[in-house]
Amino acid sequence: MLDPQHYSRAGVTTESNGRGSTADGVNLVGGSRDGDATSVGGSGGSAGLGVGAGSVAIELQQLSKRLGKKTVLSDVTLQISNRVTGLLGPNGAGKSTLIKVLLGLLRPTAGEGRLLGRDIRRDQLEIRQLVGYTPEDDCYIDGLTGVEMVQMSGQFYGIPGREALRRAHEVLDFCGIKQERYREIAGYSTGMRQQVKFASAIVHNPQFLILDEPTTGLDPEERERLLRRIKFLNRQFGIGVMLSTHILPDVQLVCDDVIVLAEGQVRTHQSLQSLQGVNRWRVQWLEPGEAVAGVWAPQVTRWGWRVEEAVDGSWELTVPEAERAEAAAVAERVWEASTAAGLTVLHLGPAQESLEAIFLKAIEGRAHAHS
Amino acid sequence: MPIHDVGYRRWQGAASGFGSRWSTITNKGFEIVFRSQWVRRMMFLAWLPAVYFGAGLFFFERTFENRQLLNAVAELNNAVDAAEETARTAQGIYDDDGRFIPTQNRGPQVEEGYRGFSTAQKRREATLRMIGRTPMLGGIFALLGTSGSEEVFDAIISQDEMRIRRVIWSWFILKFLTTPQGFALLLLVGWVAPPMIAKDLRTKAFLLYFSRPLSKFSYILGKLMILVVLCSVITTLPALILYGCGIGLSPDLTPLLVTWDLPLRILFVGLIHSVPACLLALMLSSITTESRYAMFGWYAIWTLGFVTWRILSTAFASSSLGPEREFDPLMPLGLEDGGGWVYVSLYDTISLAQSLAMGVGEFNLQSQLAVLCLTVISLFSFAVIWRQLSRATLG
Repeated sequence: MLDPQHYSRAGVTTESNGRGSTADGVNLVGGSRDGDATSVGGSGGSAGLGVGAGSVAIELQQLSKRLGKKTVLSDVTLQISNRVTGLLGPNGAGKSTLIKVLLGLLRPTAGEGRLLGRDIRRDQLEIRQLVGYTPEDDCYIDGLTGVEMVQMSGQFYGIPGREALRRAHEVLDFCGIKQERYREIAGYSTGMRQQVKFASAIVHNPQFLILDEPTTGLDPEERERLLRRIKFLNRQFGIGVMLSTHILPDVQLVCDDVIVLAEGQVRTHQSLQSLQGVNRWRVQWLEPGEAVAGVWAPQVTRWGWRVEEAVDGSWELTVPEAERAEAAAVAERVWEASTAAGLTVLHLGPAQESLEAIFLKAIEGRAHAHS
Repeated sequence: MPIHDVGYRRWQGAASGFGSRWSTITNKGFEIVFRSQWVRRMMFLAWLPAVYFGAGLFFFERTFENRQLLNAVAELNNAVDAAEETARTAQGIYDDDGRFIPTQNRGPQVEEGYRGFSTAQKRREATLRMIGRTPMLGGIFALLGTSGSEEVFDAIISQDEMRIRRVIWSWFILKFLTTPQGFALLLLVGWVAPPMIAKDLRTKAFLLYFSRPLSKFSYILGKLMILVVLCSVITTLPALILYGCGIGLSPDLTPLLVTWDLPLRILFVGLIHSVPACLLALMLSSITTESRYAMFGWYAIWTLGFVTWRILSTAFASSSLGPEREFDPLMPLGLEDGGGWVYVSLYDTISLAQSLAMGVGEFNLQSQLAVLCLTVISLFSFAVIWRQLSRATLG
């Protein structure tokens, strides 16, 4: 039988992998999120959390890494919260090197860093004990079945043998691996190996997850399920996540923050919401004319809003951060100013920039308008 | 639907310390290794020589217990001594025709080679001939080889029961460990070790190992222990059982008093064989992703080294034959007759070090160099494995 003293469960009813699970009490510390306040559950059972959602999980100060003559990471200074952070960057940007440095597999050439309060230079084993990692590469231990690999991973984290086997079955269930778990991994598809790698990374209840291209090789349905699992672990168990990926829709679906790395440097590090500009609005009028620039624009500028004419004749306005959430009030005032200028509003809506455009701008080295 | 389907739950048990994580690799490695039917067969066959050596030890103990051998040797020694005394006191005898015949020319029984021998040599020669005429004893001495037999003869001639027992037991166990078990170890390690790291490199499993709280040292130790324990199961364990049976079947505790240190020596001898050999095998496995190349390299190193040393030693021995042989300054060091070339053969180098550890080999420069050589092989192999793993982790 399962030993109940080894477990505690989330204090909410949640949808996970198509089924609900209820339990009794966990608190996501510091649950306030930008424009999306999260406060879940009551108290207790938070011993494994260590770091609350929103608190700093990774802190890097001018971190550099040289491999031979090439500088792979250059003066990287970051503060990564315990939310879901997307790590983006073109090939050779230094993403994998950054992950290896965080895990202590590579020693930084210069700079300092702490992961979950542990020094990345000194406390490598402790860091790896607290972190779950899925490598990008298609890797497995030959000769093992799926369940054996997850069990072995649990044992590497110090879980006793039989307990590790029970735990392996639990996380494989969570990951949707059924009877295939008894087959040798060598015969698995890439997608199934990804699932087993993910199960191996969460078997020990990590405080932070580093996932390197976790959705590679998954079919659309499995990809969505995996992303939901990642989000679930973050929201319900306070497990911070760093998601390194090339697939921008994955970032859009699951990430709270985005870091763009290029040529070993951090080009952008912001919340996805501010990056995509939900404090920006696009306005179109039926017959714009001179009144827009002459009357409407000076009026809204007096309220502290910034306006800019777009190439298609519409106008973009940016409201201050404080007014970001008050969409109805913004619409009301735009309407007022337009009426005063004798303009008929044809369209008013958020002016979102695609993540792809942000990514491309960032890797080209141009400072994003909002960064 | 599996019965454990309870969703994700937090695990809060006490994790074991970092120091013991290597044992996971060893335990799982055993499981994988023993899934091979070939390995199970090899392990079974590797135990058969223990029966042969056990029978030899049993027969020797019986002979020793009945004192037949010692009594016969004592009588023989007395006869040799008496003959020597007669020869010393009598200058010669007169034949039927009244002619004086000096003693040293008397009769066909005084052979040409025998005439120049010392009393000790004559005793030895007489004992050797007697034992040669006893088939079972002859068989036992054949097992012990030249150097083993010589030492045992000397012990028997001395008639020191303690010494005889100790020498016989030591040589028996050493021969058991070096000859049949050494060969079995060579085959087994050559079959099991090559894929161990090569496959991890091919499947990039090291990324899974080293992203867990597992150091490179723990990884190497875990892999090494799979091989060392496998080797111990076919070498040290049967040797210890052989020793235990010998002690158990003894009528009194005398053998235990004389040979109490042998179990420790057996453990040490086993490690001298398995650690350098297994590190070498792992090193070969770490430098390629194709395990068949590692396997080929393993057998090539042992076979070529063994054959080369046999050819060289035969050539050196035949060139140094002859009565006019001058004093060789390398002789006290054990390096005469091209003895310095023994290190080309890993098997013979290990045997030299094992003899030393068993307390039956000479403590000379040759054996010390053998120990040094094995240490260098072990350290070099470890360093290469470490480097290969570091390179692989760098990607």
